[in-house]
Amino acid sequence: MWTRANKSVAGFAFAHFCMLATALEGADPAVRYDDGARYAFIADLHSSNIAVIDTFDRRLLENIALEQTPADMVVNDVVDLLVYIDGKHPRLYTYDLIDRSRNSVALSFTPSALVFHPDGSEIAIAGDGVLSVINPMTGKILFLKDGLTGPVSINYTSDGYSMFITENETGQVFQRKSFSSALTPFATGDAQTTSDLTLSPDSRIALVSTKSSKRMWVRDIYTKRIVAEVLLEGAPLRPYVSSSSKHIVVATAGRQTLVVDAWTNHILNTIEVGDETSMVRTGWLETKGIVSSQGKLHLFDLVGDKKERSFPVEGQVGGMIVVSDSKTLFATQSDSDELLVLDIRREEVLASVPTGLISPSQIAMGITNTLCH
Amino acid sequence: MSLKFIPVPNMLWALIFMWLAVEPSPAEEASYKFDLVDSAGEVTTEQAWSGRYLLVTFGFTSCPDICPLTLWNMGSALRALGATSQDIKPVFISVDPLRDTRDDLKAYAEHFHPDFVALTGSRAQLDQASRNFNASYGYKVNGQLIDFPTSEEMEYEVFHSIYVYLLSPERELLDVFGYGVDGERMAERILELLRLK
Repeated sequence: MWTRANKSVAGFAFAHFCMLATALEGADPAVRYDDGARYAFIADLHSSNIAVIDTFDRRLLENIALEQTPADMVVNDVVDLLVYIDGKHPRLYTYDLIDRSRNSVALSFTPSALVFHPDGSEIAIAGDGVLSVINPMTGKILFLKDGLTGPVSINYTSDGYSMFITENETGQVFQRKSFSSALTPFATGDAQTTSDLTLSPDSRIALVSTKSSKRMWVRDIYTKRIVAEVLLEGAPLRPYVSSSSKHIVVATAGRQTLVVDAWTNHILNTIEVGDETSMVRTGWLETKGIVSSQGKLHLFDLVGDKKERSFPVEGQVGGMIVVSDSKTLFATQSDSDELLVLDIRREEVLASVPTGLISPSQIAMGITNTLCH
Repeated sequence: MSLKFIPVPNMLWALIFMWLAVEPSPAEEASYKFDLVDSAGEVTTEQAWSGRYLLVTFGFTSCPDICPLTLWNMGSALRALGATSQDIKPVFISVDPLRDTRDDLKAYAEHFHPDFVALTGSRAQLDQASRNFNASYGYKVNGQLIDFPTSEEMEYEVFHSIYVYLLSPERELLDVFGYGVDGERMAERILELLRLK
């Protein structure tokens, strides 16, 4: 049926095609994206196109048509391979950013999330009750774990030594030393549905939050002990740890955001932000925090009593990154085809960047952390 | 009558907003000081090189890729700046004093640009410098965080933040460059900031 909504989408898509044709005029299809800290890849909620953004020059470089619409998407640190899943088919899709070829490999399950090992040698793929680790170039299965409960999430430590597999329905976490098949279990939280696990960049602590009990749990990875349990006013988002591993930031649906010292677990700051918070980041030499809420970005000093500053967002933020200089934040907006760009240092919105997409969503980059290992 | 007074509060608000707009952030308010040791064993602080700008980064000489590229970009920036580079002192702070000997440090840093000075220090000195720069560093053995390595045989790994800091002759923070910023781009930005001073 050709509905008004279809017409609207078609019209919007045509407008985007015209804009894209303009934006891509002169684009070099043979360009090599050789800097993982510079190029951002933006997925579209409503098409299989992605946008490549130069975060240094803050401009659209090209749009690439993939086979499927990405539900989750990652890029390796040397930016030669983009890997994604569509969340519908038991397949892993790859796009070779050097020879521009599209490939896919069959999986035994429909994946819901994927993560690159920090050295790019393996990719972990999670599904309902199952996890598979494969070589992204050959598709060879390196490790398979099934019999898990419900949806699982995956983390690699930033040095690549360990992988953590979290059963979100039970709070049970399994630690796997990289390139080993042994799993060490430990529990986090209060055995209720948890957020995805967050690891501090120094791989010292692991954090989860539970919406039902309004708590955040901090666990020391090496002593395997829970070192802090923080009660919040509202249902918390997944906790966030600054690149310096010094500050934990946890936002709640109840407008409250807390900054916690990652070593002492003391609450350093409480900030009031807007409703429907969705994402947290830190930046400008790890002194500032950014929380997205419905229609707004909130910027605040991690420590200090200066009032938070807010900036308008068109709709909800679907993806948000702070690039390696810690000064510039890029965010997708659900009601705009343009990226919001925030100068964290100057606390001002810069010129937005067109994406050529209908509804830009998640953002993937090869390197977003500011740590050298 | 009241109309005469309207511009007054407006001006006041404008002044307040202007004051708010230029209020320095915590990173800019920080004191970018260090008290370290150079490759000749001399105590060196940020007050050396009077009147010159400092281009500072943290790292370690056995870093396989990120540190060499960062120092290469800093050296390239200085070469691109030509005579202006005389106004800028490049500083490499090693956070691996156990393995980075004075001779190694000097040879390593000067490989990227002859004007580089390489510094390091004790754990306390490095802690103080990294705190002052909002930098971070640490050590791991087999992925496990350790306090401070006591022997090279521990086969420890080093991690650290990868910013490049540009400080004014008054040692105020002018700008920070992230990983991946090449020498040409860094030089352009340095020139722009030097013109503003």
